[in-house]
Amino acid sequence: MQVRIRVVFLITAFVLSLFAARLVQLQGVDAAAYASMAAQEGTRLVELHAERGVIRDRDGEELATSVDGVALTADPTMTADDAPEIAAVLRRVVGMDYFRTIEMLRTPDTRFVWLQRQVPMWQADRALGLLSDTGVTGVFSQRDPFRTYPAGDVAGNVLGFLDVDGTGIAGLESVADESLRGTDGSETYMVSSSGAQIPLAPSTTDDPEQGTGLELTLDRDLQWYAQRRLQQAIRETGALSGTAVVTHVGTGQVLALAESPTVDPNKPQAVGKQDRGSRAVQNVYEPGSVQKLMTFAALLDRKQVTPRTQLRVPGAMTFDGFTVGDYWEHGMLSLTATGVLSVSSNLGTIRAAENLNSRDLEPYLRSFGLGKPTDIGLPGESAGILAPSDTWSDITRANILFGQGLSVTAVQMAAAVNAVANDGVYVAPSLVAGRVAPDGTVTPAAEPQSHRVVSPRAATQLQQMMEAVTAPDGTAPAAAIPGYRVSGKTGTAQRVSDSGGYDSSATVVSFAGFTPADDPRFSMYIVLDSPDPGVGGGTGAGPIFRDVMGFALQRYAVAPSGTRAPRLATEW
Amino acid sequence: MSIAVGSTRARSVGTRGAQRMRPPTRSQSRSRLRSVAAPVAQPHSSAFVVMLVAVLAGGMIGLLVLNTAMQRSAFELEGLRDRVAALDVRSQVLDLQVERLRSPDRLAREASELGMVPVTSPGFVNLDDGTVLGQPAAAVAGTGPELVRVPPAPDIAEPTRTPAPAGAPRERDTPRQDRVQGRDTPQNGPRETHRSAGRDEGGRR
Repeated sequence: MQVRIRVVFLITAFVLSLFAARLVQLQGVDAAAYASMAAQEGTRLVELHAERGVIRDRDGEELATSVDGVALTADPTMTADDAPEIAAVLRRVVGMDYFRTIEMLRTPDTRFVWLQRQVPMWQADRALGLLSDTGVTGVFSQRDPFRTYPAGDVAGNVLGFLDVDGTGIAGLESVADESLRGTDGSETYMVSSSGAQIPLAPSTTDDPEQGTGLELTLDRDLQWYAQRRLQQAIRETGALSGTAVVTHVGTGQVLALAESPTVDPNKPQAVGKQDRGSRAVQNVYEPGSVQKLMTFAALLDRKQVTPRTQLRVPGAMTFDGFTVGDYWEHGMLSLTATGVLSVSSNLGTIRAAENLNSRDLEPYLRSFGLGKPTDIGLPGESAGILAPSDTWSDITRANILFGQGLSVTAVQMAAAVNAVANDGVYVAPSLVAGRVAPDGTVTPAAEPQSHRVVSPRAATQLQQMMEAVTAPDGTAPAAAIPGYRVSGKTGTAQRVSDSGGYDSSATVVSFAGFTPADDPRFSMYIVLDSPDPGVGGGTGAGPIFRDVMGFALQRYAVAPSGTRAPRLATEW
Repeated sequence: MSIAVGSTRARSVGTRGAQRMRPPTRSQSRSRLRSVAAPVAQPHSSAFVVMLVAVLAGGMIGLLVLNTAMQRSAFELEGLRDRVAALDVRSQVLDLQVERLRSPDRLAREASELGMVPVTSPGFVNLDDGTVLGQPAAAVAGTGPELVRVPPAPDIAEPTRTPAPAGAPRERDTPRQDRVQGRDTPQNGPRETHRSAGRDEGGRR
């Protein structure tokens, strides 16, 4: 009897100690894990996505905006049998290719395929609705917002675009990616078995930080006009590509930075890699005769010439064994400094700069912004090439005077010309006017840096000399705008070929100008790469200047000049 | 264990009780006996029970109603959230549609279809003295600069329209050549759709 009681007691004690041990394990050791499992069962974690900031123009017109979308995915083990029905719906609603979709829906040995990314929400909703009505399963959606550019390729070169995962990989989208994208937040709350939120149950919200938008200095409509006009010119002149930059003189704000061909950020794959960036800051070339503006600005500033300085210009000159000539054959000419500029004589420029040595010229060129990036805010900006003056040979110096032997970007040239228009003060060009906080407040960008390059007197003299260029006997009468005084300068440079030397048949033609000459409001620089033979700066780029500038003057209601251009003698 | 606890408690209560009981036992013998009124609590106690039951029932019902209301509002909240999401999508789509309708390419095309031509020679009125600057002249078709025309971007935003019939090509698939040859605008599909869209828009205004 005693033994039995003991045995039963021992067994009971053993079993009870097992229970106790388990209890200790559950409550003591694994408690946190079980508690969180229990909590998870009824808790839902929702990611709150930050919306990517908008990019808009100076008037608030949207240039880039984000739209909710989803990616459609499928589990081929579930969809293989219903593939034709599903594909039919997706073709009809989403516009997918029928046969390719069937193929994807029947991908063997996988439980996940991407069907289509970045499907607009309303399309996806409708497609999934139709599919669930017909009772087929296996097609899923997940959040996949996308970026859209309502104006198409307008400013595509500036805006850039995103990769498929929403990261900026070109243009401003790439440079300002971090601030545009914002920071995602999350929300946790308890749900009932039906999935509805349980009221009064604990919930936490970590608000997302919405992306900060950008307000650009660009004027969408002017940008559009410049782009289309440039496209037209390229078609007419047979040029490979073109760039046009319109700048507001006083502030250095770029109102239009047009390029052609360019990218439509809605479908960057539609154009080749070379057209997806911004050649206005990435490509360098020898500027040609527009460079003479900087030479004359330096000469006028140092009072080595005046607009009326009389020069004897020979038909050819030789430096280091190289013969330099003008683009037309001539004997000894008697030109004034103004005349040299208006007919764009290389030899006349060299003559005028006889007393300007390399060491004195270089600081002017650097002050005009050559040889270093403008920091306009686009990716991959080139500094151009300007060798230190102590390395210049005689022929290099002579070439630099009229724009060969150094390389620039279009934006550098635009900023340099703008300095002449701005009475001798260089203002760093800018594209971003401010940042737009999620609540809509705009923080203006920092004031662009500026410094004086030449005296106001020298700048004014140069402005007046440049008016002779657009006069009927100048090199660019086609750039004249009726009613307005226009200062300009043409450029036609030999193009450096890919192998290094000058390409005898290819040229880079350009035109720089501003208006109204008596009180410049807008400056513009246009460059066309390799137009048909015979197309020069005046004939190729001049008309673009006239039309785009005419548009800008009307758009900003700039009244016609009330005065006449000064009559400066070109010959003596 | 529990037995041990129980017994100690019982013991302590017992001792304390014994100490307290003693004095009344002594005084009892001295007190007089008095008649006491008969208790009349019979109807009273049933009313009390009824009241208790009523309170209990009321509380239960109240709780139930409150609970149901909260549940219902939870569902309502869920439904409203869905609605907010749907309306959000709709407003995005409409915004996008507006942006596309406002795009410079479309406006230029619409304007030229209405027979409008760019002004080439505007006049400026000086408000101070009433003089006219510039040489104002009537705009004549064909004198303005020619511009490349680009067909509209494919419309991804038309949620209110019925889906295109199965055979019709999607605007999305518009071949790229259209952009390049765009100068001769007329007679291509997408443009037609957009024109009708434009008219609708105009009608509403």
